[in-house]
Amino acid sequence: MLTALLAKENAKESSPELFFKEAFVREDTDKPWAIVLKGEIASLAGCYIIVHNTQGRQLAIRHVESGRYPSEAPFRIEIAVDGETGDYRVLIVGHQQDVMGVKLPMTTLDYEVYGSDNFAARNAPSLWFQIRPGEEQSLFSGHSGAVRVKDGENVVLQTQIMKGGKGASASTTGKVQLQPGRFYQLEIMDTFYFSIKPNPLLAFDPRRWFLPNSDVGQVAWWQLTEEKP
Amino acid sequence: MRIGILFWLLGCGIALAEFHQYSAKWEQVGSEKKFVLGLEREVYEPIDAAGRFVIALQAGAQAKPEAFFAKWVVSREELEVASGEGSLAEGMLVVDFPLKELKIGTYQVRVEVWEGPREVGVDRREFELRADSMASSPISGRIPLIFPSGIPPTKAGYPLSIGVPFPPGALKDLGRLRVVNAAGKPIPAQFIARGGWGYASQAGIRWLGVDIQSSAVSAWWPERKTTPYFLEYGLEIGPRASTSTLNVIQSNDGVRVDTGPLQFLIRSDGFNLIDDVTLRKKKVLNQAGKGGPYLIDQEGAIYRAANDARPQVMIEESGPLRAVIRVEGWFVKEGTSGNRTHYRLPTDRLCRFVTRVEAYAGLPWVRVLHTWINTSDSYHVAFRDLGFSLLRPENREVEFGVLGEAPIKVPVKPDGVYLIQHLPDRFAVCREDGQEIASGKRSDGVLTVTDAAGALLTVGHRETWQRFPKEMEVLPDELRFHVWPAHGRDHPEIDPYARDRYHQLWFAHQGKLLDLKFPWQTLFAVMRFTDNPSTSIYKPAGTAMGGVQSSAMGIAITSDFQIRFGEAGEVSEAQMDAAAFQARPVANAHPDWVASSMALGPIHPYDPKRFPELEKAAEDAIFGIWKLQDITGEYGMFLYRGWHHNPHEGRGFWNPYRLYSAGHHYESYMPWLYFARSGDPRHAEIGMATMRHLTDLGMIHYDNPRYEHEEFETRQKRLVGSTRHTNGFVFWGGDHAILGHPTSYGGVILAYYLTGDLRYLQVLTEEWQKTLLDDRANPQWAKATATMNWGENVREINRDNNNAVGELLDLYQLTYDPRLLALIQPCVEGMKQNMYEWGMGLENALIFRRTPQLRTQLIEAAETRRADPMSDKYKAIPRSAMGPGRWALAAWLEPEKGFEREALWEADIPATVQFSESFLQEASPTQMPYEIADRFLYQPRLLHSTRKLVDAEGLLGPSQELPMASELGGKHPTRVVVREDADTEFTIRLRGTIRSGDARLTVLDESGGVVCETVIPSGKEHSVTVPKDGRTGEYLLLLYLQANEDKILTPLTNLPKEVYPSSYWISPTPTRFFVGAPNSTNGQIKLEPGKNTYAIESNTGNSILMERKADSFENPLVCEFPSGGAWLRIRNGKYFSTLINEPLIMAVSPEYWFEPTSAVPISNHP
Repeated sequence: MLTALLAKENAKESSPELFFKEAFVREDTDKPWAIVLKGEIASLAGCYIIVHNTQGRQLAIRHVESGRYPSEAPFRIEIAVDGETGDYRVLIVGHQQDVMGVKLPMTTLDYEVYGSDNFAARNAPSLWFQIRPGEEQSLFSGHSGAVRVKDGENVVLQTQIMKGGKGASASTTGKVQLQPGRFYQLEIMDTFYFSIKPNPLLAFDPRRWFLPNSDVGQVAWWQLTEEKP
Repeated sequence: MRIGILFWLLGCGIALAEFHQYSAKWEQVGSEKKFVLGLEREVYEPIDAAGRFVIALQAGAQAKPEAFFAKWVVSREELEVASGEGSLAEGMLVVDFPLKELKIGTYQVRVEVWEGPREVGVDRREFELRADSMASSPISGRIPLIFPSGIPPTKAGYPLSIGVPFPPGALKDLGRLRVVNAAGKPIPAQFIARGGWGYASQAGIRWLGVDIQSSAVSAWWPERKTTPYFLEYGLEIGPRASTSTLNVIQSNDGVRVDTGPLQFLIRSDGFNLIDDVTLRKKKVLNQAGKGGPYLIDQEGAIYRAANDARPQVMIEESGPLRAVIRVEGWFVKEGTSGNRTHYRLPTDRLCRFVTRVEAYAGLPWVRVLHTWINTSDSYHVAFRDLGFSLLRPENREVEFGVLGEAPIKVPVKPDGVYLIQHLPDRFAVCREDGQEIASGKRSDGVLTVTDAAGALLTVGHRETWQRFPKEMEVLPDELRFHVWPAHGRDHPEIDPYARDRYHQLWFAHQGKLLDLKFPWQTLFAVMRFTDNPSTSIYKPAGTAMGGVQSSAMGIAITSDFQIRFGEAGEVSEAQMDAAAFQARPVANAHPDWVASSMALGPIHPYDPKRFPELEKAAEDAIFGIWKLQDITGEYGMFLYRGWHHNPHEGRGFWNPYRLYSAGHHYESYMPWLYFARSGDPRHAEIGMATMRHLTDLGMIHYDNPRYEHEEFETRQKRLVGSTRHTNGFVFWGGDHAILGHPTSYGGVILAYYLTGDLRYLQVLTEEWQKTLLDDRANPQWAKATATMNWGENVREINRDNNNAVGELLDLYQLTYDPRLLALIQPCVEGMKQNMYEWGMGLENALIFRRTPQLRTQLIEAAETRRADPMSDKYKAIPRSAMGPGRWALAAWLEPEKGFEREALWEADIPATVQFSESFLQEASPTQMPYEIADRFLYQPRLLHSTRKLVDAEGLLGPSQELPMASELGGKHPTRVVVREDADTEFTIRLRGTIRSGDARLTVLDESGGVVCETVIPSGKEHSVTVPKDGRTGEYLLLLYLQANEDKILTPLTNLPKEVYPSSYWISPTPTRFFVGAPNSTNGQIKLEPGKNTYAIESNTGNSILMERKADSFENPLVCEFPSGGAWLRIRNGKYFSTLINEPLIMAVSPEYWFEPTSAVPISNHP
């Protein structure tokens, strides 16, 4: 069934854009891997890519100049074999439009998911997610539009205009009971900004979805940003 | 002719005999078909001389304005007074009319707009013509002129430009003016009208520009006594004889200027600053086409102003004493045609210049105000050098001035020599190869070069170390002043991202290249120091991200120079002139005159005698923040001197969230208001630095619409004339507005009135007003006014609209461009719906437009708030929070209602003193700097309204209304306990208002025996004398009064101890009483609810309990009390109570307080 759904998704003609706060990737065997940034960094200031592991070791901090990075000439950050496997956080520090300009997935690793308090999406096919154990009730909100949650072909939630909301700019919201360990699809209907509480991790492809070690999200990455002389 | 003044001058010429209709160009924007009937004022007085209304069309999508026309009728008591009809092809119809033939009364203006045969709509508005409300202004007089910091000695005099306000109708003729010295002898002077009271000259000049030249004068401040000159005006003063030595002639090759000793040419065919210069018939400078302003890009290409084939040259002002020639154009790359303009390299044209050369009669020097405007993409373009050069052969020796020390003399070797001020407290004198010859702390900004014949060329630059880096370079055949150094230095010893450094914007103040890309490392530093990575715009790192995403396109740097030519042997004269220029003397009309002119509204001049606490508080805050900026090293050409939004946290750390602000709490108005009303030269110093900063870096002067840059968060591009807000970490990033709460153009206007600085006028009229009126179709216009509501869908916070009312009315009074009325009208309608206080909106609407509804709403708000602030009636008045400025305004409008008492209480002097003192602390956190304007912007008005009250009652001392026991089934006695330490006669003085006919007073001694008993007659004052009675101790005064009718002011007696014990009292006005340690055993006081809030402050002014209400009688407000007592402050409410067994013992001050003995029955709880 999953394969059929994926085939349906892949048939959609789209260039998906997603704004997220942080990406998590998993290196399950020690090997060289890379950030392969394709797309467009539109803001003139460019952006920063920061990568760290669960222990707070910074693997990369690199400025990416503003510009187009076509598939044949992407911006690459190579991570060498380092005797380490595990989960990493990849951050794009910059303008929202820069994050949305990056084509996903952005690493050569097999697992890659995206987290945020608030997401934004354009031309996005369904996003796949699972909830964490113990997070059975989820609250979905759409700004000026709705999102829909599907369990297979069944719609389990479509957000509705909040009480008192009027017109095209009205926000929508909805709660639903979901089961941990089960894949759901999130369809972005006519909204741009949306949020989910508690924050699940999203993937475009369920085969890339994984639940990272929670330690990696606890690292105060911003404290690692000081340039060493 | 300046465009901004055009309409005012046009108005001068109209014949005031009939309604006069004409068209004005009104840009068509918007898809809806509608029109605005915009009134100039809603109430006229004969002194205004003339009135005006406009009909502004919005034709809507696909409609052509040519098809529209308007019919208008003005009537009174249903009788037509005038009517007209006109095409709206230009978009606007303006109707001007004289007042002198109109009768007192109410007039209706009815307008129909038609599109061909179809009526688009009808609108009606009213204006009233009333008798003059003010006594007519004296049409002659003598105004003392003051020189706050004095005038340093010079040989030939020093030029000053003064702004003098006049009351309405007082001065109508520039020919009836003269300046005399203390002996009454006229001295040469030049006059110009900088602004009028109306568009017609009959309304009178509001701001007069006066130019004089003065010999040495001692400082007026701080003694405030010396007034060496007077400006006289009036009919008896005849026309002045012209004896000027200053000649300015437009010629084929530019403008030729002759000051008497100095002749020079401002070229229009290759502007090279000044050329063909002769001093007393001797050639002293010949630029040969290549000198003047220039810049060098990061690749080394040179761009010169002289290469611009089409600079605009104009004589901006010209009179017998002073002339200003303005040249503006592009820096054009050497060897190019100058036709290609791009914001990145390669380009033929890179950056614009606006250069003013100011010449003075009889003087051998000129002032050059040189403005560089960045037109480039700062992510891709940087600069190696910005400056100007003067080509002069045979330079032999240079003398670099040093602040407070002997100058450094250096021979000019073939490879040259330069002084670089590379840090605010460090300069070096070097040879071209970098070898250091000398070093020191601070250049005084002056260099004098002597040539082979001994002739002198002196260049002075103001605020050199403050605006570092700067460089002065001398070659054998050239003098270069580098606004950005050619020999810039790096300072690896400085960590630019340290917590006490990152606010200093080191990326823009060191190194070889002027590279205005904001460093990412600053963003990361902010994240680290705040331990918060969020780049939401409402978080510190969000503001820093605004900096990362900022572009410096459109910023300007204005540099202020003196260029002086001297003959051999004139060293001391050159030094004196240079010192005088650096001292930057200022002049002003006497503050008493300024205040009485009403040009700044109802304000009170500086008055430390009457208002010591408030004057000191204003000084502490205003000068305190300036001093803190000194301490925290806020120097540099891209930093000196902006405003902070958030506090200094101590130890050199500034809170990084909204680190800087372009002044959106009307800060820019403050120094000029305070200078005008005080003459304190420190305010002028602050004003000049901050105004230059605002008009250079806080406003946008250039846009290239093709440039793809967008600001972080708002995604705005640029709009010429708009003002930056707070969200960029640097002054040139973040969001911006052309109307809305972030702007404070009123400050720029006031600065122009007071100084005559034509750069300010240009920014106001050729950038701000031009964009406001002529660039409305620009998509950025809508973005830069995005928070405006134009009178529709007015929200709870209407600050954008209401600030715009103030700003637009100030601009209208500067230029009288009738088109502004179409913008003003909807804003005034919006203000009627919501009077939220911001800037000078309500003031201008009430003072200039005299809008009756706003006046009514303000007075209603004051009255209902006084009666019961929690009432539905008060809440129903459109958003009219009564701050001290509002109360003062109400008191000025309705002087008999006594609102000044509330004004003074709302000013909350202890809290204000405490607020200001925080800015004197280097080590501990300050309060919010933006609140300096919030607290002190309206203070001069507050003092104006309360001065008589203070004189009568000394209200800033301990006088306030006695807390009165309430009436329950008859008069319930209000208790006052006094203590007599020595047997003496004492007087009970009942001041206030006694209305009830049966008021009485009983005085009991400690044993309860009646000492005296008397009826208190109705009236304002009554005294009762208690004779010596052979004993000392306490007396209990029982006052039987009607709490809601009678008012008594404290203190009542002349005894040193006097308290008011009460557990249930009425206090209709705000009060602040000292409460000793409560007589409850646990050191607490309990305050019960009502429609009230309480605040408790310690004896030293620290807040113990923020203003709040008790929840219920069962759950009173409980406050731990310091053993020394505290202040109870109540601002809202009327009825107050404590627990019955724990009455408060209140006194007007700690000195008056004592704890009565238990023998005296003090509880009054019903």
